[in-house]
This record gives sequence, C-alpha cells and structure tokens, in this order.
Amino acid sequence: MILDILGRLALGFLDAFNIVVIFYFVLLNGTYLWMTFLAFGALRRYALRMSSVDASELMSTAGLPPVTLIAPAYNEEPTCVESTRSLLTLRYPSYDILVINDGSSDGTLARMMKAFDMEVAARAPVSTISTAEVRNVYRSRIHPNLWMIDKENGGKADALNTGINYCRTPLFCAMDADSLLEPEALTRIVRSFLEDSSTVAAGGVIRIVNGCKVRSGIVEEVRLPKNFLARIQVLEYLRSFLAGRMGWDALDSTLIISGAFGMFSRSHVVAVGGYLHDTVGEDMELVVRLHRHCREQGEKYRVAFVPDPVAWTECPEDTKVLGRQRDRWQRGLMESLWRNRVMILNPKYGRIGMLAVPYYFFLEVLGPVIESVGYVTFIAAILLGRASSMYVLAFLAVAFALGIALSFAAVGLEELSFRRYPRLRDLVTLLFIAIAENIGYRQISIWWRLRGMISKFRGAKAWGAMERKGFASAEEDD
Amino acid sequence: MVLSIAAGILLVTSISFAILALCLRLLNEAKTRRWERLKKRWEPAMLEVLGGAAEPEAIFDRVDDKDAHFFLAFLLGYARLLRGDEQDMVRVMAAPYLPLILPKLERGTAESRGNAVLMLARMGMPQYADAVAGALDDESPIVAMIAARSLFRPGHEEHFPAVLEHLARFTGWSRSFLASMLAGGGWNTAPLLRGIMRNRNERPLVRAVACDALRELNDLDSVPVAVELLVDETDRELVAGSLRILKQLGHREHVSAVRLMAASRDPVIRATAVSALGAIGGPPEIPLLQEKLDDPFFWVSLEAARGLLSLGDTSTLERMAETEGPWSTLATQVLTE
Repeated sequence: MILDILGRLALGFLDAFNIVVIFYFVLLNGTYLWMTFLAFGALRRYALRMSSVDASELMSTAGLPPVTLIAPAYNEEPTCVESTRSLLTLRYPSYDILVINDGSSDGTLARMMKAFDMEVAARAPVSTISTAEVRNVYRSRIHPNLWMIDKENGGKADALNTGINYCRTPLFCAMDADSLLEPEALTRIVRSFLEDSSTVAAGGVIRIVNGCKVRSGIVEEVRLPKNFLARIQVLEYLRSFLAGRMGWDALDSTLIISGAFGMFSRSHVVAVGGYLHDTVGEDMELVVRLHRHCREQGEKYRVAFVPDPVAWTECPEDTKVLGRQRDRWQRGLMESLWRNRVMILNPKYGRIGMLAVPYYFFLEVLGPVIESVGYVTFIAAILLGRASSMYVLAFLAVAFALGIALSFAAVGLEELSFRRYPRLRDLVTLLFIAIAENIGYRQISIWWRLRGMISKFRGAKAWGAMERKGFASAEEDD
Repeated sequence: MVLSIAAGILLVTSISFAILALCLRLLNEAKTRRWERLKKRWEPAMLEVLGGAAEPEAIFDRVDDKDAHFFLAFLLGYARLLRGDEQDMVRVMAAPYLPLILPKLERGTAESRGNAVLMLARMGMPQYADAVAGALDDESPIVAMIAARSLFRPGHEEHFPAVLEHLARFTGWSRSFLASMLAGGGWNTAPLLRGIMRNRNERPLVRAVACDALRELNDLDSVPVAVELLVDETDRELVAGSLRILKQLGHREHVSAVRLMAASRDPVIRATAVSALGAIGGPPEIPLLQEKLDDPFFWVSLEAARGLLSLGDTSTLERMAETEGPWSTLATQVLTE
C-alpha cells in the first residue's frame, strides 16, 4: 500500500518535473530568442550611429575626460609587459595606467620594473576603501602616465579597490592585466559617458585572442584558434556579447560588465564601497550593487553596454582549466544574486528587479539543475512508459535545433556588425562549431556549472589558476 | 507531433540563419570589392583636383547615378580631413549629389537622419544651413546634437543663437563635452555665452556649461560676471564654474570673493575655491591654505598643498613630507609633481 503510494508520488513527481523542464526550456530559449532579435535591431542602429560621429572626430574635441586604467596583476609574468605595452598604445588624450601587483610570487614586479624603467614615486590615495597593505608605488621614467602599485596579496577585488583608492580621475577602467585593449577602445567606451552624463558604468566586448597574430601588444590579424575548446569559446563569447548583452542593453537592463574590460564612475563605485573581497563574482556583484544603490537613492542613472570597444583575452584551452573557470563563474553569479536577493521580483528596482535579476536567478542559476535532472527524468520517463521515446527524441531535437539556431544567429550578428573574422574559412568553421558544441560540450558545460553550485554550497572561495601561454607574436608566426 | 513540427521549423530556421550569415559575408565582400573599385576609379581624379591639375567638375564623369551615395561617403572622408580651399573643392564636388540626401532628413531611422545631417553640414554649408538648423528640432537627441555640433563652428555665427536656444536639450550630455563644443564656436560666441551665464531664468546646468566654455575661451569679460555669481548663486555647478573662471582669469582683487567660498560647506566648492586661491592668491593666503591641508575632504587638502607650492611655501610641504602622518605622501607627491 505504502509502496504503491510512494510509486504514484514518484511518477507524479516525474511527470511534474518533465513539465517544469519544458516550461524552463521554453522560457530560457524564448528569452534568448527575444534578446537575439533585440540585439539585431540594436546592432544595426549602433553601426549606423557610428558612421554619424566617428571616433577620430570625437578624439579631436577637448571634452574627453581623463581616465585611469586599473589592471590588477597576479603572477602575470608571461603577459604583463606585452599587455602594458598595448595599454600605452591607446589613442586617448589623457590617461593614467595603474598596474596593481597583487603580491605576485613570480617575476611580475621585476619584469615590469625592468621593462619600463620604474622608480619609487609618491602618490597619495584619494579614497579610503579598505585594502591589503600597499608596499610601494612606482612610476615609469619612460612613460610618466604608467604607475605600478605593489601590494600584499588580497585578491582581484582588493587589487581593484587599491587602484580605485589611487585613481584621481572621474572615470576608471577596470580590466585584467592579461587583456589587450584595442587602440580606440577607450574613446569608444567613454562615448557612453559623454552622450549620457547619468552613465555610471559601461562594459565593452571581450574577444578571444587565441589564434590571432599579435605584435607589440596590438592584435594585427584576427583568426580562429586551432584548439577546439577555444573555438567553442569564440562562439560562446559571440553569443554572450553580441546577442545576450546587446539585447539586455536594448532593454536598459545590463547586469553584467566583464571584469576584463569595463569603465566606471569613480565616485559611484566609492559611494557603494568598491568591490567586495569575499566573492569570486566581484565584477557582476558591483554592477548589481550599483543598480541597487542608484535605485534606492532615486538617482537617474544608466549602466550601458557598448559593442565595439574590444578587449582581447586569452581563453583556456584544456577542459580542466575551463571547468574551473565555469565553476567560478557559476559561483560568482550565485553570490552576486544572493547578496542582492532583495531585488528579486521587487518592483522598487524597476525592470532590473522585475526582469533582469529574476532571469539570471531563475534561468541561469537554476538552469544547470533543471537541465541535468531533466536528462535523468526524461530517461526515467521513457523507461517507465510515461513518455514515448519519440516524444523525448523530438524534444531533444528541438532543443538542439534551437541551440544551433541561436548560435547561427550570433554568427549572423557578427557578420552584420563587426566582421572581425575576415577569412571565409573561419566563418564556416564557426557554423560547424555551432553544431558540434551541442554534442558533448553542452553537457559538460552543464556539469561544470552544477559543480560550481555544489562548490558554492560547500563554501569554496578559490579562483582556480589560469595558465597563461603568453600572446603568440606576429614575428613568431611569420 | 507538435514537437516534431517544432524541430522541423527550427531546423529550417537554423539553416536559414546559417545561409543568412554566409550571404551577409558574400554581400559584405561584394560591397567591399565595389567600394574598392569605386575608390580606385575616383581617387586619381580626386588627387588631380586637389592638386590643382584638374577642375572639380572633371570627376563628375566618373560618377554613375547609382553610385551617388557611395560618392558622397567617399567625399565625406576627405571633407573630414581637409581644410580651407581643398575643403571648398570637396564641397563643389559634392554639390550636385547633396539634393539626393535631403529626403533622408525626413524619414528613416535616427541614425540615417544623423548621417544625412552630417553630410549636409560637412559638404553643403551654407546652402543647406537651414536644413541642418531644422535638425535641431529632430525628435532624436543624437540627430539634434550632430546638427548643433555642425552649426557651432566659426563661420556659422548666425546659427549660434538657435543652437544656444536648444542647449537645454543637451544637458544629458557630459558638461565638458558641451563646453568644448561651445568653445569651438570661437570668440564671437562669448557675448552670447555671457548672456546665458547671467540669465537667472536659464537652468543652472546650462549656465555652468556657459561658464566652462568661456573659461576655455579665456574670456576676460566673464570675470566680473563670475564674481557676481559667487555672491548671488548657490548652485554647486554654477559656483564651481565661476570659481574655475576666476582661477584661470582672475587676479588679486578677486581673492576676497574666493576666500569666502573656501569656507563653503560643499566640499566641491571648497576644493575649487582653494585651488583658485593657490592660483590667484599671494602670501596672505598661505595661512588659510595651511589650515585647509587638514580638511577632511582629500581634494581640498590636495589643492591646498598644490596652492602652497605655487605660492612658494615649500617649507610647509617639506616638513609634512618628513612626518610619518597621513599627509606625508601627499606632500611628497605635490613636491615632485
């Protein structure tokens, strides 16, 4: 009798969960499709807008505000000099570069000091966000706008906060020390602050540098990487930035600005207390907190996404490192949303509280659980005769076809807008990758995110090391 | 059944997206090839015209009707780079084709309207000045801004009042950007800007922008207006703008007005006033600046230290630099700046 009841309950749960999976699938992919269509219109408008006022014309105006680039560096010996050189080639009238050596245990400090002929210099902090102790401040004799702040290790957020304390300009650009900014990147991203003075933060696009030819810190030729995993990530980034973030920006609901490249109003970030130390998702958490702060203060503000300032970054090429990165991203997402959970479905926070935060919470955070359990319950449903195998296969076919369609659309958006991959071969490869990633990679990726959730509940705080290969130079390739 | 149909539809959609991406690539490549071909055809003639070896009309034979928009885009690139007589030649070459883009001002997206305004402003002035001025009332702020930036340049003084009347539309833009745009109008704009600065019915932000533009123009006549504003106004941006004018253009006789502001409760006004004292003050201001070194607001301390340096009181800074206190780095920094 009891067994019979339990059996019925289990079957009921199975049926119910399968409905949840279908509901989740429709909602998630419906949002993706919606974002893609919004991005289509927004990118087209943006491209036309760019032709109306070009970057060089903007450069000629004296109204460009001075900015500070803050680049935290922890054990970045292979790439730090080249990255810094790329920062020195930026076309912008007035900017400081603050490289924050976050207690590196390798030769980052020595290499920087030698390459840029740095000497001890005086520079007073202008704000007092709590950070680990600063050991020394250095300034380059060759490039007076290049500074290096050597501090005790405290993590990326702590290094960024140190940079903010030493930032004297109204705007600062937070980036990774291993990212390469394009020469026009600052001018392009600062436009959003010029065109709307209520802008408190703006994010640019991150692209994968693996496979590209780099000379003196400048990406000279864009090519797809040879590594399969890196190729998949190129596609993921296209989907995420050109379709996802552009779409959310069209709704004025940008919630994520990548830690690899974003510009912020210093006063606003200081007002909210800077980056949080005890999270691995400090970049997203800061943006969510900025939204929360401005909404609570009743302040008119904007957080923007700008699709053409580009930062190039190296991506992991093996599953172990990539898995750790995705694990960390999932934990970061969960922490950011949990800390600001008061915003979820709270009308006080407008469309951020009613749309963007719930989307990330219910669909992106819970997604891996629903999707992975869904695979199990679908199989169980077939075995127990609760669903026909044809039905399940058709459902999976729909899921795969939709995944492929969204990826193809992202490649289409790239072709419509920036066309960074000039070789036809690369374009066709991207289309093949869009199909191939659905078998195997998608499932592994869910597992990584699920693992991230588990490690979050276990209280993990680690970042996981990223092995840097350094940028392949054009000379080497030639 | 429903799912199978959905899968089929999605499959077709996917294939369509892939074909679309490939078609876009082929289309873009064809467009690039066409653009290159046209440039090759026009560039030699263009260089001959600019070099004085041929008349501007010589290029018209090389432009087919269907390529007129490409030709205007081609000329716009030169119009942006060239000045003086050479820019005039570009205007002559553009003249027959500009009427083609007039209809674009009335329809299409904001971006295409903006592009049309830009072309007319760069290559069609003064003939199309009214059309460009009309764009100041365009519903899109970006189109209105392109028109304003195009009109607020030396040589178009008759349109300055119209742009200034619309200035309140642009207060969402960065103040420094607007000030820079207004200063780009040159000396003839100064009387108008002083009028805005004085006008109490105008929005404080607009008046502050006028202050900054006059400062960029080094307009000495704005100094008495700035002093008046220090007495009569309380808006932070406006008072700070006036103080910045006095810092750059004022002298000893304005110190008393600035000293009052150094006691303001607003830290931004205090810092700007202290900075101005360092620039226009003299030895009597040294004790006040020394006192301001202890201001709780960092920027006031920094400006006070810089002021002491510019007034020659390095001994205070050197003493501070030798202490263990929090201002030691600040003093060293200022001494080495």
